[in-house]
Amino acid sequence: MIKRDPITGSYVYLNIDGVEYRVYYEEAGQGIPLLLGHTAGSDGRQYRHLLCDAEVTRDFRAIAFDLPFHGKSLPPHGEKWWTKEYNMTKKFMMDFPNALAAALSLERPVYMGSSMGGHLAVDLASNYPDKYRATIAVEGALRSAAEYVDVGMAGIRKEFDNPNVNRTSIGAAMLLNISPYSPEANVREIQWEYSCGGPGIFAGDLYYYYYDHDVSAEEARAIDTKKCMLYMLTGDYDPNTSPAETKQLADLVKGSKFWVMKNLGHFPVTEDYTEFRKYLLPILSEIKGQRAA
Amino acid sequence: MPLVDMEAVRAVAVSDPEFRRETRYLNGAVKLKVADDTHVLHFKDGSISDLTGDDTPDEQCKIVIKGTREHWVNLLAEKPKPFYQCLQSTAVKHGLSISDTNETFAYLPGLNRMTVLMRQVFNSGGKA
Repeated sequence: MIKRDPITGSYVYLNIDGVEYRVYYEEAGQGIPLLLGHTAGSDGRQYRHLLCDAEVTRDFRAIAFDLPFHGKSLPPHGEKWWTKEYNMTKKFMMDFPNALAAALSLERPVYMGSSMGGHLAVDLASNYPDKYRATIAVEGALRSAAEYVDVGMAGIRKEFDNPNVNRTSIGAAMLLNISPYSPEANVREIQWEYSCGGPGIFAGDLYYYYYDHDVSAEEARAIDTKKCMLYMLTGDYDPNTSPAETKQLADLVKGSKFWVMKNLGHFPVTEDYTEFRKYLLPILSEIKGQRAA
Repeated sequence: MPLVDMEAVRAVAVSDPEFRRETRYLNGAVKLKVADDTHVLHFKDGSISDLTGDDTPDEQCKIVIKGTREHWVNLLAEKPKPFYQCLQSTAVKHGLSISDTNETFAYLPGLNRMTVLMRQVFNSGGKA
């Protein structure tokens, strides 16, 4: 008998700010739409375990996308993208899932993302509460940890977009974000995915992750969790967005919910999905219950 | 007695496939200050050619890593506590010093593997 994953891959064309992007996404399941955003410099493969989790896909249509320039979503054909330095912006990060949800006719999806995708969960809850019924910030915060922000884009590019350094080193650098309790096969898979990224893309994504995502206390206090519930999950081995950083956010957003995930790092969805789902499933159950209520 | 038996680390490193691959083409010195001890690994065309004490000025080394006893004991624990999981997190969050040369970034996969081998030696009483 042939072993298969219950995942279907598709391409859809999205127009964002006058540019057409051919976007790849994978999906599994049916029910409440659940958009899944990947980390900086990686792609939707990070969600392969979740997409195969029958307890999730029984009630949720889980959709893991590759942002343009990531994974199987090529740079926009016909655009002279090679003439510009790539930097991911908050505006594009927000426009993208909005455009994808519209193209797929998703009715008030749930959005979940990790790392820069986790920060995006906060930005969507703040800026588009009418479009999302809930967002789940995995390793999200008001801002990333100051020690990393202070490096500056020049320092980031020296490490991650340097012709003297091949992309294996980007994968190697991800070790700093990973829990020593995570199974080594999963660690190596994360590093593999990071080693596959396009030139300059990881560094450019960090422009959003470290700089363009910067939520003020005032903005956080204004997030209306009655319109769009904000859940937060952060691993205790994540130095980039540590539990302390996420707690600052959680303390400001009335009605939000936050859990620290023990022995998990910055990539919990891939690092150890078996552990991660123990935190995720109760959240999905709550969201499902709200729909039924 | 040194905190880490670097001769034992060298012995396992020279036959470790991942370490050998990730240090390919490396020429020059990698200096490690481990608490009160200084070890310099000399590489020639990707292979360790010598292991010496503090005989090479920092500016003549391709990579320099310096840490206190506390840094290394925590970093080399079998299951390090947050955020001692690797050299870089220990540097950013706990103050370990790592050079920022091109070689440091280029050979990070090798440095990570070296850390794993050091951890193995450290936790096995000098035998890996």
